Amino acid sequence: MNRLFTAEIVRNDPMDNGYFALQVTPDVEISEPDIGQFFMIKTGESIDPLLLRPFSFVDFIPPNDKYPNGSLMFLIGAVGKGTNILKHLAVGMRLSVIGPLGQGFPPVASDEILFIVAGGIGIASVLGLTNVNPNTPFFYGVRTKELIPDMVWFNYTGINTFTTSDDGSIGFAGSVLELLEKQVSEFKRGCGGKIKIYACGPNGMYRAMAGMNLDADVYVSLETPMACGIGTCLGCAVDTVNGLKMVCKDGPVFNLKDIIWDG
Amino acid sequence: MNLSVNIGGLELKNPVVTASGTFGYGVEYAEFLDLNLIGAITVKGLSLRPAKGNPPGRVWETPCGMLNAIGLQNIGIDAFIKDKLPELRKYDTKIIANFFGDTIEEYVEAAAALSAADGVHALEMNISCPNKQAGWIAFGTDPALTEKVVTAARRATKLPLIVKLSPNVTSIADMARAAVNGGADALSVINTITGMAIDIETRRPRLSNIVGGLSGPAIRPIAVRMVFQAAKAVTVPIIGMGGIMTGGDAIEFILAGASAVAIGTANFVNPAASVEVLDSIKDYIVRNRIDDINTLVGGIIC
Repeated sequence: MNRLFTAEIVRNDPMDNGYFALQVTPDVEISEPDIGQFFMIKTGESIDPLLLRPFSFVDFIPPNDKYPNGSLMFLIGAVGKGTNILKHLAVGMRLSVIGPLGQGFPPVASDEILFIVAGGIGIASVLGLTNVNPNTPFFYGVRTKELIPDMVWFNYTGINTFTTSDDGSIGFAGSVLELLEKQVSEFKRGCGGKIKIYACGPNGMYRAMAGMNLDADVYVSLETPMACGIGTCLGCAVDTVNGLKMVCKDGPVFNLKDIIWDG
Repeated sequence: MNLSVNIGGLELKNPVVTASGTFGYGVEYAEFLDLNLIGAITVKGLSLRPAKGNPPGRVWETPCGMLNAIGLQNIGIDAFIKDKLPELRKYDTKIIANFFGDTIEEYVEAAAALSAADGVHALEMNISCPNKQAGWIAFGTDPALTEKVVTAARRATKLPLIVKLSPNVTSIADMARAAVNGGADALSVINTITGMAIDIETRRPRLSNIVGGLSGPAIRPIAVRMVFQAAKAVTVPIIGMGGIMTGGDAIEFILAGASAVAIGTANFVNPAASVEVLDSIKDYIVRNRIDDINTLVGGIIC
């Protein structure tokens, strides 16, 4: 299946808080991506910014009459030059895309319970997990209420969401990890069983999780500067117990215990 | 229309090759383009033993370019010959093996090992990676040492020997002459330009190695100038490279004196960039009614 393709923008809806919902339909048939995999998107014809930008997708809507090659939904935060250009591109324009790339979140076994954790913009990588694992406890930490993207664009039911905010403007006031730890130990005391935690957030969150005694298999989605996205530039290296790995090819999803956090 | 060129004994069906370090070991790109179409594949820089490269914090994007400090991570010559070459031999293109060593003896040993392998058509000697430490850099910046290391490698191979020059020198012409005096059959001009970037919030360098090599369209005018100067200084063919994104960019290098061109950073932006550059070169040739691309080499009017 062709992993280098063009795609037409069919929806590009900005939100007040800097997020935007981008939907594109590929011009050719593409492989169905796994949640946690990502796509490299060229934000325009210009050579500045030069490189493609990596984005996790939220949802792949299978081919239908309207979009014979299906469509991909992205939730993106306009944080830099590339994303701010992308945010303003009009419906009908075409983008160069490479993907799906990398390794997504592993499957959840029938005897395992999944907990999902999102920190800030990290929600874009794990939101899709709620579609395939309905009713899964979903821990979502934000700095403040205003930074929550509007979910109306996504196939997201919001069932079983535990929201936390640093300033207490919504949900539990405090760290998302604090609430997670509490719920995990409550679960262990209650029905018990094996827990998998799939998380996406800043590196500081992962470091904190690595230091916690969660008694669970934790998988995290990493982000690093990256050039090619296909494992050839060797730019997105990350230190692991198995040696240097490439975030784009061996990840972006890694078992947290394999990652070596320096300093 | 003739597009074939001869690079110091290496016959290429067309002048478009891929630049070392930007095309993996070639096989990774087979899904994105027909490798049979391009003139040659230059593989990732190889050393006698596998090399781990630099710690993370290896790439950083800059205006119209990028910095890298990969540190020549590679699988080593033995693994390349065993695992990658058999796959590469299936394609009707030429394979240029880029190689480096930490000492003159290692350069010699690496050149000999690659020359003995079935399917390597030419060697490209990397004496110019900016991501290695001080002693090593001298091979690419001190003309006397350049001549010495090239002379030694020259004796170890009968394959066409291409020497890749560093732009981080005062006189590219002196470096070109030194490499040719040492026995280079052709030159690659240029490698990346040393640069750096700093995160002003943390005050830390963006790259773990602090400095890295700048590539991409940001360096193209410098590269064109250096190809022009090197071509004036020596008579061996030059593979021009440095920020080529389009066929027009490639023609610019050819007019400056390059007999072939290498596509580097553009491969990261578009994995099929090399064939698109080739198609665009063909369009230019047709549009300008040129029978033989070799007649364009050094065709700048000034």
